[in-house]
Amino acid sequence: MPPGHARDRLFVLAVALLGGLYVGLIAALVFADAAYTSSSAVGRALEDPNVRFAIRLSLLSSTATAVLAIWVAVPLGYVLARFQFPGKILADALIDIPIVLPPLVVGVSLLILFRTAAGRWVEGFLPFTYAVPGVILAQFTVAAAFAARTMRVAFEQINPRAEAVALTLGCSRAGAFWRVALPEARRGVLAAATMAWARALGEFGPVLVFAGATRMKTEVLPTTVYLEMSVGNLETAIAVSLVMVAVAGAVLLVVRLAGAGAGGRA
Amino acid sequence: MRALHWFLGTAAVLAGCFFFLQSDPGLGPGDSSKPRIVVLCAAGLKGPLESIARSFESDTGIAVELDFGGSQTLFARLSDPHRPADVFLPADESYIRIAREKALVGGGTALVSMQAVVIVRKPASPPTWADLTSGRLRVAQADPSVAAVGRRTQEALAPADWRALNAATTVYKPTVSDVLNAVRLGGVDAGVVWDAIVLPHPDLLAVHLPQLAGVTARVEAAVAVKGPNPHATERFVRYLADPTRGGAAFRTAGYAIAGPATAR
Repeated sequence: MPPGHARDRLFVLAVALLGGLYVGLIAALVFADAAYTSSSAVGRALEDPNVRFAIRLSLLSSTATAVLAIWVAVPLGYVLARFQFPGKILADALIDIPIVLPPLVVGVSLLILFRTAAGRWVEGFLPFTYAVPGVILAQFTVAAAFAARTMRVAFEQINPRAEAVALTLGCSRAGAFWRVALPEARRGVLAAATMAWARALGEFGPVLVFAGATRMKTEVLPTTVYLEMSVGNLETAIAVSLVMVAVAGAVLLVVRLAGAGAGGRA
Repeated sequence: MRALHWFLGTAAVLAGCFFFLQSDPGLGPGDSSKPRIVVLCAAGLKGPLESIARSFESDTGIAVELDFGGSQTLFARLSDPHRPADVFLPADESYIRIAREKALVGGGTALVSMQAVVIVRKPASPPTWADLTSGRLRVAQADPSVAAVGRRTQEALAPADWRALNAATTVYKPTVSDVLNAVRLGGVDAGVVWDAIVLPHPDLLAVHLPQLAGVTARVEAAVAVKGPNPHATERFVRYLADPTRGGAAFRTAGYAIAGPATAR
């Protein structure tokens, strides 16, 4: 065997081993959870009206959050990837704040914001604090930052030459965006949407602080896990966690298959 | 056209989400004609409070909205003038005292009392105080600066006993439930918790030690001064304290009812 091939095999083996360690860790976590609880505990959790409510609210709020995050992340990512402007470094750093801040602080900051005159004025039309719109806003505040980061990378990886050609052929800047940049970034859009959705589904700290943990009102699945752990019901908490894993896995799989079927692999 | 399709497609998904959110019987605006009270309740009291709220609602027709959280979080919520709550029910009476000093609530009504115990996983043998402080056991305690059981343990123990227990403590957890979970999951061998939270867990053994005899606390309910439904709220607090209604549910959940002499 040529020495080069042996080195290649060693390299592939090392890469697979290192990557596999992490995949193995996650798989071990899920298996450990499954072994700790029982199918009857999962069944009981699924029959609980509070858990069913939390599943519905989690799915609806995460989907709404993902759409809102994409509406913001696509233009933001495009601007940051394509244009130079004063304050760009500051804007770039501000987007990272929801990512680096402890989640509870995001919740507290939202509460403080809605105590200001402007916040109270907005609440006159639509109550956010301790209400369902607050759940979506808390999820959106964090999830949109992840989506914007993903979209910026997606646009940066697209060669701007095609857009430049479109411009020289008489296309407007908006036309070049809609006809060239966005279709080329569709895998990035799908990745950003799934990232935002998944992030929103697992968001807990800001939701707890800003929207509360009111049963059958603002209770999402992570809140259910927290409430069950608060009374030492570990079996139910783990069962609900497994329901979350199953729901998230199923939705992400469908989205990725749909994305692959639409012409690009997510 | 592409822009329009993209926008309309995502807007349709969003509109669908909001439609389902609005039409869900639990998520919609609800029946505004029905009286409703908001109870800020310590997460650790979830079990008995859910059962009491259900029976109160069916007996009186008054809806009870239970907002769970840590006592400190609930205290912050109680202080928010824009979202008034009706009843404050933290994990121990000290928060009622602080809320009363800030004129947020009226007098508290004593509901149940709790006693600190040491828990171990069965079939471990019951530890003695010497075992607990020997350093051979991994011991968890609730943080005295944030959790009532931790603070009461520090206050009530003799200084030498506290120093010994503190030295033998492997980890401090933010809540009493975290201590219980750490013992159940095997992260530690023993923990100091309230007796009331042990009953639903037959895998745990609760040990009363003489050194912890003075470590007690009471759970009280207080009516918020600015609560929008004072009459319904008074009825709910009376229901909570009624030995045949709320009291029965607390007893079933393993709590000791606070005697009439302690009620204020």
